[in-house]
Amino acid sequence: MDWSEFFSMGGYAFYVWGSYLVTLILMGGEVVVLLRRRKLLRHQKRSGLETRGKQ
Amino acid sequence: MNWYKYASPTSFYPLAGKMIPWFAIPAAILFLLGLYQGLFVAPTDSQQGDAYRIIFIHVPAAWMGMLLYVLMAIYAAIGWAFNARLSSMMASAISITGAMFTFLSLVTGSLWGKPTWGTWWVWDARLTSTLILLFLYIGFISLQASIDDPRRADRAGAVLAIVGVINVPIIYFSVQWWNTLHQGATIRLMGKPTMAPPMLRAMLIMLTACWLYSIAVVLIRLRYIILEREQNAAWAAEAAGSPVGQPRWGT
Repeated sequence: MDWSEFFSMGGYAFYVWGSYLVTLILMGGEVVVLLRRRKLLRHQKRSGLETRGKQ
Repeated sequence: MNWYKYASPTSFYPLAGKMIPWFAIPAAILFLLGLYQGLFVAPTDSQQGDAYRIIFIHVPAAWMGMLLYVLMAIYAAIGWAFNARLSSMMASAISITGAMFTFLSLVTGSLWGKPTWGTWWVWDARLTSTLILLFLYIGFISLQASIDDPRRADRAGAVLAIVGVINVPIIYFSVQWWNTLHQGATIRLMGKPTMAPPMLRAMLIMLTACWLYSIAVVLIRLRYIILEREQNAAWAAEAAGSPVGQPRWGT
């Protein structure tokens, strides 16, 4: 298989790979944001417990 | 088995956690399979060349944008009508993913339109009604974010979501009702698809992958929403005995 031909997408490389890149960024980004939210929530929970402990 | 048990957010929380891998893992496998089928197996289109390969993300994204909106409206309506908190939380969890897919369909559509139509954007029926769908999602999300009381936010969101459902059939039938640059449906609810089998297979695999992905992501987000809201509920129970007018978040 000819890889340079594959990557050139018959001259539509920008549009095709651009689409796939945007998809990767958006869907991957959604997952990353969700996983970071887990960390944030855990942090909040911990600090919440701490303040409750002080009261 | 008592199904009503799972209508309560606190008992659905662990169940949702167990369900996530059953959707996330098949989604990942199907994405890889769909990409292989779409980029390597499916032949070059005789009319559009390789540019048509955008279809494998554009069409699933557009379908998910519409389907998730209907689902969101149904959950919001149930949450409103039956005062079911979990259902309203589900609607909020769906909204972000639905908006993401709608935005994705607009961007990939634009990237497809440029080489095939010679323009990034036209104000035709299909494109405009899809843009309105995105605005409806954004409206739903920002309306909910702007109201502090979660149940009031749920009700306000439900009204918007239900009214906006009318836009979904408009998007779907826009290519038939109006003269448009956008090509007709490649997969029809009734009748034969107008696509070559290897292309169709790639698109259906990607569509299934997007469904599974959406379910997994929505369940993860739903769990956060449950945690956040139930935290508030626990706080509320605690604060019930304390003097009125105390700051909500303490110091």
